[in-house]
Amino acid sequence: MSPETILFYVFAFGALVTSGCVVFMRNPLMSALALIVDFFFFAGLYVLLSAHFMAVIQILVYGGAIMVLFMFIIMLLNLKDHELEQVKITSVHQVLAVVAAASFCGMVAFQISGMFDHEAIQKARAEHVQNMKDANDPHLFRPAIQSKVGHLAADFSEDALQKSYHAQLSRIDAGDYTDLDAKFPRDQRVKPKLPPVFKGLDHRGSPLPKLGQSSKATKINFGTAESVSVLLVNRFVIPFELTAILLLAAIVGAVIIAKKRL
Amino acid sequence: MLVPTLEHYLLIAAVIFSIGIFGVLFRRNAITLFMSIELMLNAVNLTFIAFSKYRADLDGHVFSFFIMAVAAAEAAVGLALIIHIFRHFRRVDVDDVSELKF
Amino acid sequence: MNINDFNTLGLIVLIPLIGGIINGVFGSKLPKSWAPKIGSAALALSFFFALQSVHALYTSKAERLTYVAYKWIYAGSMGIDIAFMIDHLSAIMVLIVTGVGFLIHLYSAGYMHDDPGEWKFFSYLNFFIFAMLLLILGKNMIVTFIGWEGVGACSYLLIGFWFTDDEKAKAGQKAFIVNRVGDFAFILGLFLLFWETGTFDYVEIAHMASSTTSALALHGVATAAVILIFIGCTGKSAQIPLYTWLPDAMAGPTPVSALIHAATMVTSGVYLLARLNGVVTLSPVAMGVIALVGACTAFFAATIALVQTDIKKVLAYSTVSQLGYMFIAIGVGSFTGAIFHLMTHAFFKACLFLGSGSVIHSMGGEQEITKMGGLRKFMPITHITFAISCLAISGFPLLAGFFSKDLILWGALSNTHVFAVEGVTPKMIFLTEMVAAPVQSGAALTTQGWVPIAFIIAFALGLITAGLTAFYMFRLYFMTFWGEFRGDEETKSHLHESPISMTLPLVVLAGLALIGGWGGWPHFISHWFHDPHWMLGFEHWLAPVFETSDKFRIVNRFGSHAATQETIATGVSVLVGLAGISAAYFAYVVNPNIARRVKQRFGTVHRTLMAKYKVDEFYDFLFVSGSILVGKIAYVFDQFVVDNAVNFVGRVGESIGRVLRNLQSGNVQRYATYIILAVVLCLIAIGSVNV
Repeated sequence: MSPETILFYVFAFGALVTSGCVVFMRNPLMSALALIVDFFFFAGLYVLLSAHFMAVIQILVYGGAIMVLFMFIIMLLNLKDHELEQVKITSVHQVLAVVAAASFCGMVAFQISGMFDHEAIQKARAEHVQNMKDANDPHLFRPAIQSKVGHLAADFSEDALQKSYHAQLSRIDAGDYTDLDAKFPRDQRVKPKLPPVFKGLDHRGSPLPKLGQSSKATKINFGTAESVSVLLVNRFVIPFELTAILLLAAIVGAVIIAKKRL
Repeated sequence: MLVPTLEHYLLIAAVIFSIGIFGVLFRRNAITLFMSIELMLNAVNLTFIAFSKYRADLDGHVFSFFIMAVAAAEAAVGLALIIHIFRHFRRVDVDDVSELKF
Repeated sequence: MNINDFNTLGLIVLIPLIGGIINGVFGSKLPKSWAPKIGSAALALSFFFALQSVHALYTSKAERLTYVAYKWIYAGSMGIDIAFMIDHLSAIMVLIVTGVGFLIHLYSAGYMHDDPGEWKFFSYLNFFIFAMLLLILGKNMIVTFIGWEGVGACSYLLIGFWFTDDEKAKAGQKAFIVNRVGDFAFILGLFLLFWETGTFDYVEIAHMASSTTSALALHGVATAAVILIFIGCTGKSAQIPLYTWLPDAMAGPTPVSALIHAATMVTSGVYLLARLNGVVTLSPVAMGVIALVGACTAFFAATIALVQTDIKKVLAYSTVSQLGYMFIAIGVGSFTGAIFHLMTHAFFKACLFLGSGSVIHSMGGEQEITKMGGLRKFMPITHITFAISCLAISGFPLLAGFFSKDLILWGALSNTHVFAVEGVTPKMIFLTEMVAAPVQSGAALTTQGWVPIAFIIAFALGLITAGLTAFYMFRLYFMTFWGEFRGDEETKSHLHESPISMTLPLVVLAGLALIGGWGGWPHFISHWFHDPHWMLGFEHWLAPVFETSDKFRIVNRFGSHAATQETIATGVSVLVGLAGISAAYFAYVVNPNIARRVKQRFGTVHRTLMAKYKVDEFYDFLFVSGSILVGKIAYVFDQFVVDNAVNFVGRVGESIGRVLRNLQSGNVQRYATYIILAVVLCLIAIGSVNV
């Protein structure tokens, strides 16, 4: 029983319970507080998934900005107790809602569990434990166990993940774009005029460090702020900028809708 | 207890998503309803990030990032709408807003 | 100008249309005196261009001049153009229509002078001329059909020109509806022909009818097609059984009667069949039917005309009778005779109608000949021209009617019909059996035995009709212009000769009635002068058009004895005509008591004839009451069966809607629930496929 496993079950259980609280609490203020706790549990799960950057963002954006907004609104409206609804089944439609949610959950869970070969995972893991005992090394490299779906591991230890990611970066640095081409087939005929950063140059024209080795002479790790931001300012730079416009539009829209008189 | 695999994360995301669905379908308080939607978005984020890890592919993180941005925008506009509804009906019950017929 | 791009034809047609539009749109705004000037000028121009076209046709020695104004409907192998064609047949028609039309416009300027709707009248007249020219000059049957319907519409408008009078408005409707019955058959025939030939083009159809293989193929549908088209013609050209509208059409202004219901429109059926002569002659049965119907109409209408006392009604029945003559000619294959009679008839009947209009004008609207008499003293020009036309229609020697009528009667007596094709000499057995030598396909086609007999019957009835025609025309003439004036003093004091614009057309038309037939002398006379070209000019002129049918399918039964035969036919018909004239003279001038005594003696016959055989009443009983009965039954059916069925369908929808409307509550959450349930169903479906 590794600490990761324990933490996973703590976070998972917490997330489920607080999610339930969000939905079943009669007072929206309580729901909001439960949701904040929920977001922290989510952040914990992200960390377990090697998504450190996303975990931080989750807490900053969701737990900080969005939920503060919710709290403000709830307090602003200041709903009295008698104005709050009873969380009870009172109509056919609500029965239907329960049926819909439950059956949806059941069907999705059924589909998900169909994706994995539980026996193969158990067997591979047992082998690894056996290997670990034989070599007497608790940090023995554990290879990924493939799921039934292509390119998708069922079980991926942290060191295996980083190793695989670094291999990818090295291939890209070496000019082998097989991984990217699999995702985004590039049109060979079209040679767009790219900004310098796409050519591995900075704004002065001097070469940027290779992805596989950062300026600190250590490799970029999977899920760090650096690795995500490289993507954000490279391949996803246009959606990234469009997000700014979206947020601006949302601000203007929110002001127009909420203001009494313009 | 089992070591967590992709399956576990997906199952948790599915359950939380379903809880969110339930909230959206069941609750009449518009604010709670909204929070249920946030819950669903988070479940999706979790799925993205889980897949991202098990594919060793960072694109899922970027998607989650954008989803968060959209969620922020949506929360701003949606809460503005709730204020508007509250001004009109003096409460925030979605049953009041049933003009979407005929 | 190119033979295939002879755009003067477009001008001929276009100018009356422009005139009509100017009068119709601006007529009420322009000074009153402009309307007849615009109308007549348009016709004068059109006539001028018609003359130019005919001249071009004559000098170019071409078979036809054509002009495609507009490529209209193209679908698959079918192509319909707004195309015009002038050949030797339409040349005659176009000259009659624009020439006589011009004279009648001139006449109308005087006749309609006091009418407030004069501009409207001239607009309609110009539109009529436009439609008639479409009919005549159309290169394909579709253009002709447009004209055919156009003249029908204008006829309706002009008959009901004084529509405030209910009787006249109804006469217009009757004409329109009766024509519609014919048009229905006409369009069926037209499409049947198209179905077989794949073209609407006259030239192509004629070409098919003249070549051996395609003629044999066409032979199969020819009978049905020709009879259907002929039914259309019975409507437009007032033949049994659809003639009843024409006498009522006399409700229109007299120039209209002259132009539309005597000279031009009513002859369009004759023209059409002559135009399709190649197809017509492919069907001996249809020709027999046409000849018989024509003969019966001629005789039948003539008997009614014997006793009518309305001056225009007499002329109307006379027109029906003369049209019957033309159809006899078509039926017996004497197409030249039909067109010849069409032309001469246009001259003398237009003159008669215009003369009667002059009389009516002078009598202050009175149309009963029993109230006239002795008018020759008051209206000398009208009298002379009327007399000439009466002589012409009676077939008095050397006047127009003599030549054309005798040509028809001779044709009826001598012609017979064989279906044979080029290069084959038909063998004939007198009267009953015709055998064509084997045609190239190996099958001999013979005509029905009764067809030649029908021709003989047509001849007999035609001969009798000639006598009757002479009698009633001169009865009309004597009662109107001779004896003492029988009207009141008031009317008598107003009697006067008509103005120059009315008498001038009369004189011109009477002149044409006098000499208009001199292009078609009987052959036995022309033989005496060694056949100079001009004496048979009409026949020579039309020969290219009727060549095929005349040469290969219509044969002269008497061969070398034809000349003798013609002499006999001519002589007999002249004698019969003279007998009619003298009978009228004795009965109405020498001793008016004879007429009165005959009337008393044959009271029943007289009453029947006065009542026009009660045909209208019969039609009323058969068709109108029948339609009303069918309508009532249909009404009950509609009320109980159709309505209930429709309401049932409606109620089913309503009930379903009433149930389903609960789904649409307007509550977004419910909609979302449905969406999720649907997603679950999709997941189940996907899962069941995978598993």
